[in-house]
Amino acid sequence: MNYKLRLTLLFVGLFLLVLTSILSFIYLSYSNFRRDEFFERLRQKSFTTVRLLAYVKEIDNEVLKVIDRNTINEMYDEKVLIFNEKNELVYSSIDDETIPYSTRLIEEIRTKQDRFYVDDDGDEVVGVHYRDGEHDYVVLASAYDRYGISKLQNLRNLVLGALLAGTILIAASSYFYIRQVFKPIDQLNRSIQRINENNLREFVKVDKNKDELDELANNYNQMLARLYKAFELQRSFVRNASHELKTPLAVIQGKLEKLFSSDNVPSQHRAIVESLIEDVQGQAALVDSLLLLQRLQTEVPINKTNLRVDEVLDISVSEVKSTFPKLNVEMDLDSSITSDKQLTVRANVMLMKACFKNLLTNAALYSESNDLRIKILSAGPNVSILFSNQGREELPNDIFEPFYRQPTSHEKPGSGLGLSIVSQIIASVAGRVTYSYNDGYHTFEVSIPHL
Amino acid sequence: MKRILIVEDDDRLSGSIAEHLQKEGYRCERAYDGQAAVKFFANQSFDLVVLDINLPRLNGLDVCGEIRGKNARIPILMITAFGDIDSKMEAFDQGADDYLVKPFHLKELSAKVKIFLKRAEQAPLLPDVYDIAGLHIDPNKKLVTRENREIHLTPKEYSLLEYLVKNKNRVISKDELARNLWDDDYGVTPNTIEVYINFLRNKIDRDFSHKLLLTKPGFGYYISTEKV
Repeated sequence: MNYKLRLTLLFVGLFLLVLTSILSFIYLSYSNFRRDEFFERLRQKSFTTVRLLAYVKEIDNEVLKVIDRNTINEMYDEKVLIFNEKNELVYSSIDDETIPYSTRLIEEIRTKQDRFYVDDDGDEVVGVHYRDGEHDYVVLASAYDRYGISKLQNLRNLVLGALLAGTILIAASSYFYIRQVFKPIDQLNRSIQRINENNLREFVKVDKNKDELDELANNYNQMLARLYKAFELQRSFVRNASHELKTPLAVIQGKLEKLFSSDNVPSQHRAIVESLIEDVQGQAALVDSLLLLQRLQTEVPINKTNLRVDEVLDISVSEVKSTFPKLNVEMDLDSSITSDKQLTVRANVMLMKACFKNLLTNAALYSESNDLRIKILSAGPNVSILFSNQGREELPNDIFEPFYRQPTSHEKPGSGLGLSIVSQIIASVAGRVTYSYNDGYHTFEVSIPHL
Repeated sequence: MKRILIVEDDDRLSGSIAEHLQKEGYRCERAYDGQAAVKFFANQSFDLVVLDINLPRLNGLDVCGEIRGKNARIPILMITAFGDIDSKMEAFDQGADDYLVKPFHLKELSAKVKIFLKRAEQAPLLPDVYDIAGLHIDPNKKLVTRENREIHLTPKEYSLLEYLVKNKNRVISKDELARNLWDDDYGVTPNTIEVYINFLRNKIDRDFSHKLLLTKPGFGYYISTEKV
């Protein structure tokens, strides 16, 4: 549940609590007030009736009934019962329907105190003791407070309506209000989302309101700047290190080549110079490999694009062939490939080239023959590139470890970093590289998810 | 005598490059930092520039961009210590014509210099533009459009299309395509050709009713100018 919804619910909950308390208080107060007022009216009514019975001696019960029924203040469903000192019913305002009562109740009213209560039918009953000289009566009067109850119901409906309307209003308004409050946060969030390793310098926009959010945006930007600087430092390290390490090699090679082509050098010295040039190139390759490994092991993001593996392979083959002209490459695109998407991967072109060139160079250096067969096929979500060349025996499991060298290959150039680099490059594009040996052929299979 | 500007901060390397190129009969000027190179270029005229990427004061890529801005035709050969994996072909983006990775053979350098100088000398040969049933191929820009919609082809797909179009209406076997589009000792299987033909069909023919790239079963492929 997001913050906006949580806050809205919290607001609505709080509002409901407060509003319900206030409205309940109003309703209950009114309800009590109505009851008190109604009891008072019933009491007055009882006294009026009992006085008539006591003082107008001649009055007939029938006449009293008529008077009772026609008082201006006649109440709905009104009933009056009067008991004498012997607890005998001496007057009933109606003939059949009466108020349920017991002698004990009458006695209690007479000896203890007046009673106000609601009977089983929901009618409100007043029981009063009237005593005046020789007269000693107990009156039970009951009626239904039609107008009061109806007013109360009206109030209840109003209260419930107000509660409902208030809840809807507060929910809607607080939602809009909170959305408004969160708008700058959402904007900040969106602009942060847009930033990835390729546009670290596109800072988040700061509004200059000098509020907390601007402070947050500012801090975020500062963090980005530091990150960018750290990445830049890493990149420039590789750049500077390769420059500083390889420029002297280029100088040495230049001088050696000059020596090699000068006329007054004996032929046996030429052979030495030639092998020195080879050593210089081996050193250069080692520097490249080490720096590449260093670069792969840092967290510095690598710029990736969509590229076609067949094209990168083509370039790699022609570059490797300029060093190893004897290498015979046969390329086979499998018919499982029906769309160019199956050959397109998201990777860094220089890294892919370095990877393919390492595999090609390995084949050129260590193969029993000069033939290398490359097969590209589509396997589900991956494109697989198989490099097969002849070999004498199966290679051990640790060929992908750095500085692995075949015991028999030490006289050949190489640093033992090639396959380790290959596996790290392929891992950096979520692919995998595997080795197998079948019928005298080494096969390296590079498998990379395609688009 | 052709004049070459060598921009390299290492005195010894630039010395041996200059010495080698002078022996080959060129006149060389040497600059040791980026700003000096730009100044040199503004004041004198050169036929080719050899440019290191890592330079003090103004880096080689910026120098390359500046020089390219002033002269669109001059060949620029970049020297780089390591194919920088972050700046994918930045040198080419800045207008460099080719690059050499340190340490390089001086002979390779002079061979490249010779090729580029010769190429710059010749008036650029403008090959014909091909137009077949709405398929337009501009070999100068390597641009392919059909019905004015641009079609993106990889270099291999492009050279395949260009070869077929050059030999339009002639059935070309897979073998001939393999021989002409791939290096001599870079064999390709018939499958590979089929896959590329299939890609090409998807790109140039699929959305159009008039199919250009046709198969003669058992013989090969051809581009037909007539509507079948």
